[in-house]
Amino acid sequence: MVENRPITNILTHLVVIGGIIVTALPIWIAFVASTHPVENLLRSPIPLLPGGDLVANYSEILSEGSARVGGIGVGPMMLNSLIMALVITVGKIAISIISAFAIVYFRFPLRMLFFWMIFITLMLPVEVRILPTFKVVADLAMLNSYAGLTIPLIASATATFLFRQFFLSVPEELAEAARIDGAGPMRFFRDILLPLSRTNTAALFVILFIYGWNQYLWPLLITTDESYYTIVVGIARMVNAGDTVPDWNLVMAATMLGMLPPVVVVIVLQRLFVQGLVETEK
Amino acid sequence: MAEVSIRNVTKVYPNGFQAIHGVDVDIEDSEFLVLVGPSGCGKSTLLRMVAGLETITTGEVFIGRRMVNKLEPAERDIAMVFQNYALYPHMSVRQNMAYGLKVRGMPKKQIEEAVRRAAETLGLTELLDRKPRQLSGGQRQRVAMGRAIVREPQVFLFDEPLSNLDAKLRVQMRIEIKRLQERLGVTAVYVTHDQVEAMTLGHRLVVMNEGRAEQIGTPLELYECPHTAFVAGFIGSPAMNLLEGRLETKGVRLGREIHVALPETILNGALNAEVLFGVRPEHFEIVPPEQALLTIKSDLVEALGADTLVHGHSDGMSFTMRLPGSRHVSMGEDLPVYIAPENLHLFDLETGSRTG
Repeated sequence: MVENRPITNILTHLVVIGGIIVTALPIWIAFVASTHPVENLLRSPIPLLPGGDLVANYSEILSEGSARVGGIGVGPMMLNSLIMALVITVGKIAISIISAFAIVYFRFPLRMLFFWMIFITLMLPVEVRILPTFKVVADLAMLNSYAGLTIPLIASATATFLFRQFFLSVPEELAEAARIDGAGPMRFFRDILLPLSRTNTAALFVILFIYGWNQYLWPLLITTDESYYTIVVGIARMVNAGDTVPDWNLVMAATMLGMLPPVVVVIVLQRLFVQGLVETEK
Repeated sequence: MAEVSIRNVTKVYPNGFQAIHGVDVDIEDSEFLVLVGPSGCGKSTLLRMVAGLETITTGEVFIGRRMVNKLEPAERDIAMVFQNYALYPHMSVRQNMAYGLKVRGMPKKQIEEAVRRAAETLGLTELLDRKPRQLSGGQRQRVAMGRAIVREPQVFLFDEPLSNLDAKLRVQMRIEIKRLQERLGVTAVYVTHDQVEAMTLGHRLVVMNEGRAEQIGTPLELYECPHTAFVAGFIGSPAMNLLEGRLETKGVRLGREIHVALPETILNGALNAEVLFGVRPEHFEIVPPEQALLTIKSDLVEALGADTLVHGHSDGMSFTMRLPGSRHVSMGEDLPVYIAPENLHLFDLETGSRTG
């Protein structure tokens, strides 16, 4: 694995650099676009170096600009996204860790049936069950509400499955030692399992936060009231601004702002995230 | 401090497998009882039933005259040391030891005091703030014991606690466990598959085989007078030589040619019975040819220093002998040997039970 020949060194670096360019270029272009006046972006070639309108564009999108192109301000949309992403993430983790705990540590009738029922829903992406879900949410009068935005997305087979696999890898003797120490099931869950799941939870938090933040189809369907728009929906609306040419510079500025919270979450939880994915320490 | 009674206990798993076929043992107060046997003999299952980690199918377990069949492990006033130690990985040594007391709601001051005392007993004071992953195998083992003694339980249960350690550490920890148990005077039940560990630790041993207690006795009783061929083969290292033979007048015939004369007291007048003839490796004596019972041709010599192990054969049968290290044996040498009658064991070939 570890070879130190110059050729392989150069080659691996080329591959890495190539990969970074492919991934980073669109983001760079978005950033550059957000620093130019809109006229520069409408004629080719599109600029590849930042222009001088950075402050102007961002202050415009943060003040009244986005209301003009998107309906409501970037701030409220970001707040909506944040609420939605956080509720989905926390809800998913809370529910799935508890159901995984039940499935792994308790013997109850039809346990495996329930497990497989949860597992099978893995095969059904949101898009497949979106119409019935919409009907249910509409009947429950949850359209245009945070509850409607988040609750249907909380049930999660993936997270349940991940926690189940992690719990299975925790040595049985730990549970037995806790029993002998007099800790009941909930005490064992709180004192032993939760702390042990810390890194897994962090990894899931990152993944689920990005998942929640990037939701598009569901918020688009469920919200007609502009005050519930999320940033992702808002950006899409800015682009489809009817007959007029979209203000690309402002759209890109909003995009850059919309990317920030997931980036912050990744950076903050990065250490735990990587540990959670690789570590097997028991 | 308490006596433990296991009364006619059986265990049948839901899949129909019967792991324990009715075991009866009475463990005295402050006694160190070792359950020993090959893997799959049910020794761990029996221990876990005493601990309350396995349900008891039939029979009763008493700890300190209290029937505990229906009690949770925590209510049985026991402490258990697991093979993999089962330390809580995210807690420091101190927290690991304190956890059981904390759950019981003991006041903080008392917990601190109890942990300090237990740590002192085991030489863990320096390590109290470390996490289990920063400890060596022997230290983890000691923490596991600390977690057990800090609660001052009535019974210690050990489930192969030394099998994850290297040979040298195992001997050292074995002595520590023995000392600790003697000093604290707590009743202990200890499971192991290692017969040396069993012999050195236990006041009494229960040799288990296929879910049954083959024999219960002190180490020397088991060594000197095994009740069954299984116990005879299991206790002692190297294992007892067990050879098929047939009883004749005044002796037993092994193979075609060897006739070993036996006193009438051993034979009990039984004739022509098929038997297993047992003799321990250390009970062969090299004698002048005219006094020899049989002659063994050596074909492999293992010089261990204090002893010399000689593997040899005679009339198509293999023997292992343990001779003093001072006796030099070369390969292919014919060794005239004698076995004192009191060192002979006879077992029924069919049932394996002792006949003489």
